[in-house]
Amino acid sequence: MTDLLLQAGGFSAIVLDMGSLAPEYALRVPLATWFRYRVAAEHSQTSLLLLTQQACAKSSAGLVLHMQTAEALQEEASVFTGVEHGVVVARERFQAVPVNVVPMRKPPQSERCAGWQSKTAWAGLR
Amino acid sequence: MSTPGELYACLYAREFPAQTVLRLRPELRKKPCVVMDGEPPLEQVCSLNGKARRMGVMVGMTRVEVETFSEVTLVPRSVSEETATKMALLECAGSFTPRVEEVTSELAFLCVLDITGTEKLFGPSATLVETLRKRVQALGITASVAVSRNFHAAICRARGMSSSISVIVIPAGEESVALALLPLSVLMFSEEHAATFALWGIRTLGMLAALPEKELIARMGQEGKRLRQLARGELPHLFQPIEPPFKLEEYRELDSPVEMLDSLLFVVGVMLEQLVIRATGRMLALASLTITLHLEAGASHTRVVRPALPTNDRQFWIKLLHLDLEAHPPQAAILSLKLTAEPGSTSKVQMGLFSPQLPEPSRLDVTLARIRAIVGEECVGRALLRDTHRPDAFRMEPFAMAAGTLAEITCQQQRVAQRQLRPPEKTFVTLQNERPTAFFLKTKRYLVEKAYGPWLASGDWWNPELWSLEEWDVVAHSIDGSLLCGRLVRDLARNGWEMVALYD
Repeated sequence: MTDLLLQAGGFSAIVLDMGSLAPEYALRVPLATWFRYRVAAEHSQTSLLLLTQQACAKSSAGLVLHMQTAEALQEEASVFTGVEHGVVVARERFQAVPVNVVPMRKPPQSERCAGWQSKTAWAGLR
Repeated sequence: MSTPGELYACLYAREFPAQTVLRLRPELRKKPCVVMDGEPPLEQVCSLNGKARRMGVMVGMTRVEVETFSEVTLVPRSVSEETATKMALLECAGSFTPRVEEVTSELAFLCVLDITGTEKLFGPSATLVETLRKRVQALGITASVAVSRNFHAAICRARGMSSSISVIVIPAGEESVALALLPLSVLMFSEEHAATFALWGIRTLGMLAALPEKELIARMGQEGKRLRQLARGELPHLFQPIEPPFKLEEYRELDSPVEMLDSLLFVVGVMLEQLVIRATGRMLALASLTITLHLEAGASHTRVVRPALPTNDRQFWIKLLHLDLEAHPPQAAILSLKLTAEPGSTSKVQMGLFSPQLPEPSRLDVTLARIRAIVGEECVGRALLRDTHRPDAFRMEPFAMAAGTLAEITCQQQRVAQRQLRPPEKTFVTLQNERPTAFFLKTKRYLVEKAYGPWLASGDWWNPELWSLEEWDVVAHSIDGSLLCGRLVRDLARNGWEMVALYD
């Protein structure tokens, strides 16, 4: 299915959610498959986002993000309000090559980790 | 006599049964071909193409006589195909004028168009008839067109036209001159009258027109007067227009039962081409296609293909039909097929220079059809919630392109994603004061840190499948310290606990 969508082209992003699969099953997918997906995504200018419990695309992945253990928000006593996430860049394939030219503007700074809160639809605004 | 303002164009297609057969069978166009009519032992040639005629085949020959010519292809006559072709031609004529009259003819197609006052739309009559002839040619039928101020003069001139000339415009007042050299066979009269004229030595319309009127009536009665007026191009006519419906339909009977899908698609390709030509003639595109296959043992198999956007791309339609028929193959060999198309307006989408890239609609349709063939019809589309609080109640509906600009969904804050577990995981829950305190999920024990609830929901009490649930949002930690936020549901009807969703 992912193959078909990648070959069709025109999509900005395709998400392949294998988050429910145990790592031992996800790792059974041959590496050639991930390599094929990477080439197809490059040709069709599509971002392919793969969600797994363990990084299994290996060297085919352009960027590997490791989601950190979340913390539940406890803003309300009666309803579940949301989760606080954290993410760390585990590996990055293409990094900006340092140059000697000093740019006029301040270049974007590299950030290796980030955190954010996601809230449930029924949580009130604060 | 004709009213000064009137102008008629007669569209005449000779050897209509043969032309109909060859229209949808391009592979036979370069071969001598005859169309046989009648019950099997007594079949006779009713129509033939030029190549067969040059070989010496004639109308009225029996099957045995025709089979002495080794290269001639015999095809049975199909009235249904002729009707479909006739409708296509009438509809084509109807795109030039709303006033079209069909003249019944056994082995030819003949219709007359009232083109009075169409100069401003289509130019002079010569230009109009040339365009009409080309449009008919595109439909696979070779026809001749004659224009005259007299209805019958146009018919006679079209019938008497040689195959080298295809368009003729008779100037006003010169009808009798234009008809003078035509043979008497262009008039439809009885054998008795034909014998009389042969006895008198009358062979052309000019000779008939020159006969004195009173003496002719004295010998042949009012029919003589009518024939003389016809020959002079003066017979008046009350125009009886029909309303040809715009119906995109093609029918083809197969020469032998077909089981292979590829062979069928070859035939479908030719029929589709005709439908596309007809739709393009009206600045329309095909919005949906219905294929009806008539199978052996009297059954029929109907499939409808409807892409997101109307299109006239023949290859794309063939691909969609191929995928659909592969997913839903007919259960027996195919005897005949009918293609019906619904017209839609050709869509033009203005793309912005900086707008995000979108999948090309036709390619997306083919991709969706391929996915549908793998996962099933009901698993592709977009999910829509049903009007109920029952958990997991949704239905799938086909993708549809939004007519206007897409409304931007603004969300002020990040939302928690809910990963639905399908099927739900059965759990064993420990309760304390009617609140969950611990549970087992996939052989792992979790201690509930926070439990929000219970949220009660029930419904369908008027149905046998009534449901009643107690929902808990839980924040739990396992023994090894991993966090789990999820939704525990207790089925009150069956008194069982399930983990139905995880908050990501």
